[in-house]
Amino acid sequence: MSNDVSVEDRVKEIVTKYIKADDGSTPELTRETELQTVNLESLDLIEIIFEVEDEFDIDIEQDEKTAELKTLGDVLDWLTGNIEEQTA
Amino acid sequence: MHRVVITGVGSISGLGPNLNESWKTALSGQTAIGQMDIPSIKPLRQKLAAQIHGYKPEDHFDSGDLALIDRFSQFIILSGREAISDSGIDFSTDIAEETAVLTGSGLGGWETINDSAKKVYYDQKPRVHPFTIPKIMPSAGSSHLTMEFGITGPAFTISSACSSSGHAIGEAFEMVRRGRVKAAVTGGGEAPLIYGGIIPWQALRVMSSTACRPFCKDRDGMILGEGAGMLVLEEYEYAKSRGARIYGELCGYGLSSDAGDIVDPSPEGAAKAIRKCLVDAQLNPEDVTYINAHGTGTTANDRTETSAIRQVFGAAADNVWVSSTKSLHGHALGGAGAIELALTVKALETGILPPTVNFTEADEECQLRHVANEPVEAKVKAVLSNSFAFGGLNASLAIKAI
Repeated sequence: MSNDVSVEDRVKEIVTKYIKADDGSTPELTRETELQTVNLESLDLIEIIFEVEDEFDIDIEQDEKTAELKTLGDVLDWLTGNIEEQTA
Repeated sequence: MHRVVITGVGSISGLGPNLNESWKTALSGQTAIGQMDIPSIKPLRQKLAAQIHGYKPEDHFDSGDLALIDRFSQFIILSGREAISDSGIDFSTDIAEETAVLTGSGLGGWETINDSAKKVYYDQKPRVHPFTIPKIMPSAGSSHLTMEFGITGPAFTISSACSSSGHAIGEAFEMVRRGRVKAAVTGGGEAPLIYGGIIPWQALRVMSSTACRPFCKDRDGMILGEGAGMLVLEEYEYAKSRGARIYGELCGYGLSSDAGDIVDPSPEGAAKAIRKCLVDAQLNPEDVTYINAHGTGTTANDRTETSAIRQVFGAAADNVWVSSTKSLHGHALGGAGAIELALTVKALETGILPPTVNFTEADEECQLRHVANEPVEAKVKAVLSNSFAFGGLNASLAIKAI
């Protein structure tokens, strides 16, 4: 379990780097935060995937589901799911 | 056919971060060529280049954008911003729909190509940064300018090695004079000063280890540079109607190919481009005050170019001033023509001709009226700028006072 938390924290750290409010400040984040409201765009997601692949030395396949990710929770779950699947 | 005028100019090179500073350095005779300082794996044989020292991308672009923009595109964007601001043209108006953006680049994102190759082959990484492709595209500079300024007319990039930006400016000129667009933002840039970029040039054995001395008896090669130049061209009546400051009229464009050798230039090919340019501009050889030569500092180029100028100008060749500013800003390959045209515009504006520095004694086969070491004041009527590329692709541009 402690391993899972650490994975999620590492992913969170990567994702947070790409988040910015309109005024440039770092907004308060919850799992329910919508990607749109923190300017997290599809290009950011591509960079995040690249960093996660590098960090965990895995390959995340192209997945149409990324278009359906709406909240930070969705992104974290999808990424950690991929990591767990490949590092299990 | 419409008349085409130059209303804005921008440039960045080792000579300076903008055109005015570059011009000041050029007239002082201070060359930008010096010790090259780039990350290397093994020591490079080539030590000299005209590098833009102290350049900080983060001073000009935010970090998110930088992930998407290669160094050569950064230079194109910066000089494009300068040219547009200098011209005062307002792209929040309808003119944005009737403006072209044409750039030249011989290599495109060579730094990014090298970084990616290093990761894949040397570090054996299975992946590279996701924006590698959009950074490499030679047309990226054009695209970024259209996006930054909302310019929606024709936009693309020409790649013809060392004539790339000469051809780009020439084709933008054609678009404006034929009425396809009312204005154009055009020029080009290059960023070849990278470890994996210097080594192939070393292999060609055309670079000098001492200095760039075009047309001199003791010259021993060219020296690479980096940077960009951009111009705003406008249809004359449009420029007048908005009260734009006009530097001069872009009045001639001549081009040809040698159909000869992939590296060895031909005097006939170069002469054909210069001759066609004069005919196009309706200028006689006697009308031309100054030629900004391609003048790389290699034996092959300098003798060929001298012969071409002599063939076209005949007796008038003794009176036309010639210099190669590559002795000052190095050879920026696909960006060279634009950096040089920017300085040539200043020559037309100020009546001061920039020199070939490091000039010792002219080669017997390079006898011309050289602007040697010191700037020359002259009443400037018309000027030419030559670009001759590997593979024999030649472009010559003419500007005259209005």
